[in-house]
Amino acid sequence: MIKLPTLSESIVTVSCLKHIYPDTTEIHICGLDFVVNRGERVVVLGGNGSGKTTLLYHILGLLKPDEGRVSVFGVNPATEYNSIRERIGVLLQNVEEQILSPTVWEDIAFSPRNYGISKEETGRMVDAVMAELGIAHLRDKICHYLSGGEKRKVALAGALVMRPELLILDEPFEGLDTRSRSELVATLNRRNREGMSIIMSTHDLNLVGGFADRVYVLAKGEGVVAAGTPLEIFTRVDALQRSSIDPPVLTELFNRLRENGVDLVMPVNVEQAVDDLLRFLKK
Amino acid sequence: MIDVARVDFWAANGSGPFHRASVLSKLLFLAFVVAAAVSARNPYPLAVGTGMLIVLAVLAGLPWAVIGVLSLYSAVFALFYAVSLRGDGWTYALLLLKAVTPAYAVGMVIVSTPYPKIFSFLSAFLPEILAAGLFMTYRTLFLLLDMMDNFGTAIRLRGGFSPGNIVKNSANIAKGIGALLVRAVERSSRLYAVMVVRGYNGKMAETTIGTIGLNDWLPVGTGIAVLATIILWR
Amino acid sequence: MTHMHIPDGILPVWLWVSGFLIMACLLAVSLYRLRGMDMKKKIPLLGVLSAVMLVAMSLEIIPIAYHLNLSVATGILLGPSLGFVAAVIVNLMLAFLGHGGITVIGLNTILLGTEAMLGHTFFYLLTKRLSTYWRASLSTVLALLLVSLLLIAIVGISHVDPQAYSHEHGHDAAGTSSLANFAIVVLSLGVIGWIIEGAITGAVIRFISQVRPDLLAHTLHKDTCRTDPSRCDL
Repeated sequence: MIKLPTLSESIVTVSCLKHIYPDTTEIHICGLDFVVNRGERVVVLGGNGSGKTTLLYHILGLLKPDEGRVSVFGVNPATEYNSIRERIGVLLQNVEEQILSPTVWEDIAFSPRNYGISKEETGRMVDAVMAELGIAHLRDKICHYLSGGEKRKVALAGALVMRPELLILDEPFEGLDTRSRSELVATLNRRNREGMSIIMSTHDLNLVGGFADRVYVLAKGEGVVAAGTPLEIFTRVDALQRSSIDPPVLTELFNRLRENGVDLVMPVNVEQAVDDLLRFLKK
Repeated sequence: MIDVARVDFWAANGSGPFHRASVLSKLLFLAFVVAAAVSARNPYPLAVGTGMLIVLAVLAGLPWAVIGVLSLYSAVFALFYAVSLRGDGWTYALLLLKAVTPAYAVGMVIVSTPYPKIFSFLSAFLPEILAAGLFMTYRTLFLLLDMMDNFGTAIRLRGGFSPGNIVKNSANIAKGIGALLVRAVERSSRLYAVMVVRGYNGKMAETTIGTIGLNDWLPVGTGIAVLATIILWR
Repeated sequence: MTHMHIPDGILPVWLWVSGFLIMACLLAVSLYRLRGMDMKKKIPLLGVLSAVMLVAMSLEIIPIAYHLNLSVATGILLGPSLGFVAAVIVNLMLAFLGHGGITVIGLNTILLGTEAMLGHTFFYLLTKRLSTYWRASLSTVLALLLVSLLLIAIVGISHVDPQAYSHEHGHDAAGTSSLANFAIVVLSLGVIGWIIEGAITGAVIRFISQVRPDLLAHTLHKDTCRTDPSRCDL
């Protein structure tokens, strides 16, 4: 299921998307093309109503664009999703709606079973992913009675069980405490090292530094207003403001230091900031 | 309606002989008891049969009193039907026991068997749309009960319930139900999307019929004993 | 709501077996009519709306005597075929929730399904000069009245052999049945329930017409997608 990563191979391309909802709301996602290369971790940043979920739903083939072009693994997902769906895993914002089966084991086994995988192999795959996420003890539990965090892990297990080449996550950190966020990021990074590409939408910029290879910023009514590495995006305060996102605390701090004559390289995470400050202080 | 959450709790957390028995054996038990109730013409053997069920429930560690209360619900309607027959005491007793006995057996099955296992069994015999529909209904029921509960709380907090004001209260209940229906339909759209991306292809959950084993002698034996009592004591 | 709370063991075997056979035939017809619809759309709709009906049934308007069931609202939204399948699922769930007998699932499904089908038919037949509220309310009252008459007819047929309950050990015969008594009670209590359910259903459908008018425009219950696929999407 996982191919060796070739960073230059683009697996997702979205060009100037326009979608009109039944209540006549229009979403335009134009500006820069949205491209995801194999093995990349891409974060889509944007405030409420900027079109993040619309973008992801077009990539999943759940919406058909009124204008524009979407290509996933070389096909149009709106018309040929069946040919690529085994290669894609999804974690939606509301995990409650993603859990279909009554028990944990049944729900994680949902996709393998429906893709015709044998009972024995399904069992192995489900047991493996439950062990990976530390939820083997929830095997026979009824999903409804799990805590929010447990449900999210079950939903994630359901998304990862087929070892997808591409994982799409819509606001996965909503409602998670700090430790749970760290665990989720660690799991995603581990899978990424094994070759899985990731597209994640969020409005929390503080999570981007330790995770993303590439960031796209969407603004309501404007589409893609910026694209680049986390560091490049952190310095684009104008683009962040247009998308109703506060710059990270570190960016604010280092910008203020710069205004006061302390010119340091903008860090992407706390560790880098500590190193830069210590070096400066030693000078 | 019974508290589904409580029933789920008992079903999932018990460890007595009835819990350990297979779904197949418990449904056979149910079938024997229903057959006994259907064929009974005499209240005395049926009373003995009901007694057997209560004794079994006590010995198996089931919540026998709660099951009893549950089965009395059917007694109310049996009485109502008996009234329409203008029957005598014999008729009343027979009809009440005909109602209570299988209802008690159903109670014993549902407090000792998680619903997903019952549906897994039924899905071997039902068309996919019904089997999957049962799973989906069960899954959604809790969410909607919570939603209705939250809505009720919101109405109360915002002054929407006035004791005695039936018109106002009914209007607000209707709004709540309307909102519930709309959200339910929208949820079904999202569920459709999830089923597409998760690759649904006709298999909602495992289909299990199972076989009769050593753990199953108790329910099967009791069911046969109840039916035999009815048949032999005529 | 017209749900036959007659427990197991009361009705003659031929009657409830016939109920299952008729239910199976109606189900087959419904599934045939739905053959063009994507299963991934059918199952979520059935699941959520069956769950809504079950939630509504937990709202007792008159404790024990009357509770909502939203069968007509479901019929209006889902259409006759999906509405009937939802009725099957609801009655299966009710039997395994300890609310109603196992043997009467067939007859209860015929009653509930007929309510959904009639409610849908009346709603879309009634003149659009009436407001949405009155169309929905009147459809509900009419549907419930007709199905109540059907219930009385079923109970009347079941009284064919009242002697069956009383002939053992020298007890007197049960005497003549009193279908009239039963009918009087059902209809007089029923009128109160129909008015309440009619009012609530009217308010619910009016709410939906304001919030999601597209749901009343045949978007959900297009039984086949063959002739016009673009009108089948949720």
